[in-house]
Amino acid sequence: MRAALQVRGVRKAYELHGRTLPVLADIDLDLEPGQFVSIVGASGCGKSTLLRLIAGLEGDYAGQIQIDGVPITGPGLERGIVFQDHRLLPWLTVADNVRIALLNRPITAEAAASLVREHLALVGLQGFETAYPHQLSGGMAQRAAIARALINDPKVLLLDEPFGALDALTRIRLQGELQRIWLRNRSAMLMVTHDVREAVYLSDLVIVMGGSPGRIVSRARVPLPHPRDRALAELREIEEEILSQLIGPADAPANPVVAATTAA
Amino acid sequence: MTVPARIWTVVRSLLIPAALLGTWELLSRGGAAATYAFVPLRQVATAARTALSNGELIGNLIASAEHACLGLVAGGLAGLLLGACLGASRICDRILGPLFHGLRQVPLLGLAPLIGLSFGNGAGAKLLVIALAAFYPVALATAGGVRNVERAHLELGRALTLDRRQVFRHILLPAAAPAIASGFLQALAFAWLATIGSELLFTASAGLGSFMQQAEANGRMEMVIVGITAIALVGLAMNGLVIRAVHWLLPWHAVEQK
Repeated sequence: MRAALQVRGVRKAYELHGRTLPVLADIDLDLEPGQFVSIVGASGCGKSTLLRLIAGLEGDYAGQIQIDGVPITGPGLERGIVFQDHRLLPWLTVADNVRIALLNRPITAEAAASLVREHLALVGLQGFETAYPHQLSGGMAQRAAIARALINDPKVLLLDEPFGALDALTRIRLQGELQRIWLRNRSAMLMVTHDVREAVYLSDLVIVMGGSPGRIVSRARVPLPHPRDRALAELREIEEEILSQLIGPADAPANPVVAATTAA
Repeated sequence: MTVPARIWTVVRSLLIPAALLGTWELLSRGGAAATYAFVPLRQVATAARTALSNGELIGNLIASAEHACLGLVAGGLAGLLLGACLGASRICDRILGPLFHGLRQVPLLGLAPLIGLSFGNGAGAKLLVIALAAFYPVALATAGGVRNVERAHLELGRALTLDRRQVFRHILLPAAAPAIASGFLQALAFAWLATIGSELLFTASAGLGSFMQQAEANGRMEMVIVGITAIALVGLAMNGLVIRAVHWLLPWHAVEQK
């Protein structure tokens, strides 16, 4: 089976005050169609940068990123993205915020309207079509953002700490929701998160990244069927294993930029 | 708000004007000289009735409002266009910005002689003055509004593969809309001021400025006061209309402010 997303030997560096700071070193990553993969790692390990490279929001890297065998050349509708902040446009209603993702799809207004309806129902927001973003709770706004990212039926959905800004209870509820949505929609998912428990609960594969420069340290399979019970003992074991890798002996500063500025 | 509370609000807002009017009336009873400076209210009321019944006031008022609206639309649209360019394009800001900010420093009255020389002192010159008065605030507000768009929203536009035109229409313009709206509100006040000013400055045709100038020439103080009152009322009414239009056009903004 051809990988939905293939990342080969990706390297990236920033120029800072005339010095070259490597942020990503030789990243290899495969995402099969319908697979759920998470990337965990300390702040500044480059995991968000990697996601932004795949989204096409940042360029200037070495290596190859392919979607379905086609190298990416910038942002594209075959990749959906959910940011940590919901990024709903405050001047549009919920329905229009979802519809805006269809601007460059050659479909009729009726087809667009029915897609919007369908995806709002998928995320459980029916009845809120005409609400404005500031009238929604954080969790509801993030659901709308997920609907917007899924409406183009992307091959890969990229999630950049999607629940990082939510309170603990809403986060747990939305993790369950995301699992349900994924099981129905079956886009491949690539999620960046700080929350190891979240990653283990949702993913087929958890990639652990380390810093300076950002690289993949290990990969942990989570060979349990979906949907899962959050309380499974196996999940706890894998979580503990990953945590011990992350917190373990390597206590060096993960982010060379931060290290350099604090030293100065 | 309950009905009595609303009535109380209205009463409260009328307290100071009523006191001023009372003082005015008292002063007007202090002899012949005082009667000339402070025209008795009854005389003003009679004058207002006359001016209203012979159509003179309404005709001039409509003429002035027309000038103001025309100037506001022309100047406002030009301001919108330039402001959008200044805000959205750095090159545009570099090339046109200094000229714009330099010219903006010259008060409109200071331009009157120049405009008089090049455009005569007829309808064209008047419209130009009013349009210029509306142009600056709208251009400034639009440029600021477009410049202050959230980077995150622009990035969303990129992720959704929107082209420049779509980004402008769906992100930049709505993001700038509240700023543009307050620019237009300010422009309205300036345009109204410029309307009356230009009617007083340039050759008289119909308009409240000419109406007052004529009254002044005839020594009709009470008619001057009728004119001033009409100017204030029309200004208030137009301001109210624009605020309503803004609420209707930007429902999300109106709700956000509540």
